[in-house]
Amino acid sequence: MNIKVFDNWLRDYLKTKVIPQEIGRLLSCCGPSVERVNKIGNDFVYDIEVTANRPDMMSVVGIAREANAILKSFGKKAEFLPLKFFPKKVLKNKLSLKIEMENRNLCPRFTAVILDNIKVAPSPEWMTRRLEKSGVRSLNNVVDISNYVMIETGQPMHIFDYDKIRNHKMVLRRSKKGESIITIDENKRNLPEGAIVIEDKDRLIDLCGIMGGANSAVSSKTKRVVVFVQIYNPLLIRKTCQALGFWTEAAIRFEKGVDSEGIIPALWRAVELLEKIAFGQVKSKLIDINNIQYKQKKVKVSFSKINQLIGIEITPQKVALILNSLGFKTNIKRDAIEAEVPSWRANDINISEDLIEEIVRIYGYHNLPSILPVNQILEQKTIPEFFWENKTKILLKYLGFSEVYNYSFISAKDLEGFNLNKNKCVKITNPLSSDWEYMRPSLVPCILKNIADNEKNFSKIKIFELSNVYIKKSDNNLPYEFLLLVGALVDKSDKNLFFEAKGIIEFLFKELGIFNIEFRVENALNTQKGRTADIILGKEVIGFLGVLDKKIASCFELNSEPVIFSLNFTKLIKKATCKKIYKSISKYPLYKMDLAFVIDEKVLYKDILETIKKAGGTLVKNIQLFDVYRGKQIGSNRKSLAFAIEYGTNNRTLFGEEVKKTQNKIIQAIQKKFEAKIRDDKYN
Amino acid sequence: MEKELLQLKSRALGEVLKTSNNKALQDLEAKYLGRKGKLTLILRSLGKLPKEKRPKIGKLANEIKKEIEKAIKNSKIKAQNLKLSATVEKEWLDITQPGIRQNIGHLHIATQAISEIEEIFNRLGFYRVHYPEVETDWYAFESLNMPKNHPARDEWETFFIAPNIVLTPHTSSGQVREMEKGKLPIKMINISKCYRRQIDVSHVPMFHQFEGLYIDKNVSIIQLKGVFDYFVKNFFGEDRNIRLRPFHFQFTEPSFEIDINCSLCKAQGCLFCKSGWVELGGAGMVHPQVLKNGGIDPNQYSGFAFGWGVERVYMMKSGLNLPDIRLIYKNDLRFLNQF
Repeated sequence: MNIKVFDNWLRDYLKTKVIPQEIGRLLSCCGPSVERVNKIGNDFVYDIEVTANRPDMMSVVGIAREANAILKSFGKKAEFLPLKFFPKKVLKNKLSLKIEMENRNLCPRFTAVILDNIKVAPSPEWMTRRLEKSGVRSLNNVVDISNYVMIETGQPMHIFDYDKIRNHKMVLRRSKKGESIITIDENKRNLPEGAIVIEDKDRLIDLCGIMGGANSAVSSKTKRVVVFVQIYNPLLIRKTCQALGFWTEAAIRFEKGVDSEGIIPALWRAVELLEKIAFGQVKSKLIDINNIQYKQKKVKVSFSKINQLIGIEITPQKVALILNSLGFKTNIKRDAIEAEVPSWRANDINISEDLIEEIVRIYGYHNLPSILPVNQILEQKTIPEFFWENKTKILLKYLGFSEVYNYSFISAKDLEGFNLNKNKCVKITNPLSSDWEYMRPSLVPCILKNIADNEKNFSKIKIFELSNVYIKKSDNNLPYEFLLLVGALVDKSDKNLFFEAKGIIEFLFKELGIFNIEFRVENALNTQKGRTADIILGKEVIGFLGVLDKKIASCFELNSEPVIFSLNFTKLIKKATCKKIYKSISKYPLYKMDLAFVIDEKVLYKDILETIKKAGGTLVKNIQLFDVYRGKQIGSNRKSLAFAIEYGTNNRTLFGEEVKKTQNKIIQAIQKKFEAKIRDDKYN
Repeated sequence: MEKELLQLKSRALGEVLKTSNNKALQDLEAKYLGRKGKLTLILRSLGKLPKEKRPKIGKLANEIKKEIEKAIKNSKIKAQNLKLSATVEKEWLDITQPGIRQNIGHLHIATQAISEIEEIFNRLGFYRVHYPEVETDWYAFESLNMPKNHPARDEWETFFIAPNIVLTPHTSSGQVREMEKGKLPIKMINISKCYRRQIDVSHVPMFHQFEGLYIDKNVSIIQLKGVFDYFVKNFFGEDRNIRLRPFHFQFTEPSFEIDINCSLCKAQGCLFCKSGWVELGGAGMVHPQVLKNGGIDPNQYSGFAFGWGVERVYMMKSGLNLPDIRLIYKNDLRFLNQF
């Protein structure tokens, strides 16, 4: 969290001649990050990021204390001037307040003092200036004092109008279901169960630690006030803020924990200011209910551990000096140092590593050398998945594909649009929007949206995504996560787009060293009948390839019918290999013969290929389909296929007669099996 | 005879010089040197000369023959060259015309950044792993020293699947999972998608982080500095420096933010940076509680860990000044095809 600290105010507690920019730079090296030093007129304001573990630094005094240690470690002259406070005693005409507390754990420490003869008025100029530089708007002297002391000491406080507290009675308890309070910002807060609240005779007057009630607030007519300084249970404050979605400066400090020993000084500091600028007079004894006695902690760390973790040796004297400058009392015991933790660091310093952090940061990270660890050869290795992932992506890039990355989220509508069952999907309980309610079980819907978005600018599209998908196991188990590879091709001018895609997949498999794949005729739900194939690896379906179904295309508002493919990449790459097979190169020439025939449209290439292989036997070395023709000359529902067949053996030159005999065998087999008509023009 | 020869020589050479066409040169060759050529005839008639004159005239005639041969050969080469350059002239190209476009696609910038990061850490001996994106609360928070209701959890805007299942908001959820494999030393780099519930010009709900974890005996802060120096100089360039700034994370102690000197203002301080430094990401020495949660004895082993944004470091490196980070995941090909 960021705070603003006014340099002029800081110097009340830090005596040094170091200029603001330099203070900012040095603090960032060893302590809180000073993001900027802003110059406003002649004033300097530090914009400081304070980490969650250091609520003690969310104050002017806290920053002064830290800066003192850091400036000294850089050899600069500096002195920390602690907050001074002056307790007051009152003997006669005492005012009183009746306190009841439901549970001591709600409020570890409860203090209050009552003042009379208050004159509510605008604050003096010096105070409004300091508040405004710290980012707080001035209201009136009384309210300003509570803010002023919080910024100065880090201890939040509230000031009630004493006369508005009915029966001068306070019951501190946890809120019940259905209760509400109007806070001083005039907002009605419907309280969750268990918020810490104060009730007077018959109504709630304070949402403790967060904001006071409007009904007991100081107004221009206020004469008597209660200065009210507490420490609350941080967890309860935090839970209430979370339930309300509402945080205040006070709440932020309370939930992170305030200094239990800083409460009394802060109270008397507020009283001093009320006397000085609001003419108040103390009219009560100090009300102080101390439910949990503070016990000072001791943490020990060995010098060998310090030196091991940092990597260089720091002398025991230097270690002690650093810890002392931060307010730790130390005791060197042979090979270790024992440190008494100051009260303002009680929540933060627990183990020896915590002390090491204090030592090394003040010593200065910039003073440490930079050493590369010795590079050992480890048993663990990068899993092969990444190798194949990389290879595949690069391959697709050079095949003309652009890679997309979509969010992993999907809407119920898009799931339905692609016939996916949302009950099998992982559902997000707090999605950013209804468009992103589920974790996607398929990459295709997103890819279709990408096409829809890009169609107006591109007539040819080739895109792919390689990402995880998520399949629900059960409500309380982690889902299956695995990689899918999905690609899409759009090109209205290309009639062979399906085979383009098929060629890409075949090439990809070849590059992955996988040869036992098969494309099987299949009618899938989301692709067109007769233009879809399942992709089989071994005996398992690992994906599909097809032209997108027309209804789905219109559902996703596409102007084209893309060819899409989807592959289970996680399964696929389990079979991937870099292994290569060498086949000896024959010394003897190959005979190439062409063979073309007309055949029924529905006869599969695959079946013809098998027939040729079977009939041709071992002499057939290569078979290549080089032309498919359909036209009037050959009649409707017929197609002409032209093959180039290469014959040869590895141990001798073939005789022309042998080749002719084999080719004839092939012709006869095809004629017999498929009622094919041989085209003589291609056969010579 | 001698005079006759010299005349023949000068006539022949003169004719050869005037001729630049291959066919005509061949004709000249026949005219003088062919079987019935003029010089050939003279050479054949040498026998009729008196014996004493024969050597001198013979020698002269042979020299002349060689000279004419040489001249014809040279002229033939010239003629050939002329012909070639004429053809070349005809086959002239307008080399300012654009080349033929190769239909090559583009890898997404996240992929490009991940490859480069992985490669640098590989060289340092870090092996790459991956862990679930949908993760249990234990690995995402609790094992990292953030019990339920701990305020530190507020720093992550977390997506929930179930009370105990989240979309991992950081790659640190892989730390304890890696430790549980039980193999030491550990030197992993975990690069993965992460999710946080926020979206605006500088936030996307899904992004990538890379997490390094090094655990061994005697791992120290100076080694962490060494690894970051190496990464920064290799990824960003030799002229870039880092600083460690104290910070706080529940799962490291000590903790730091790593800053890099601003490339725009050369560390002078500008609008883009914080007083000359730009934040790279968080890091720290693995908290002993996290080691214990992963089954490792913190008295014997120590380690460091860091988790930085992939998109963030890529943007810082490339100097891409995107007005809106959401562009990266909009998948407009007009954007993607620029990379």
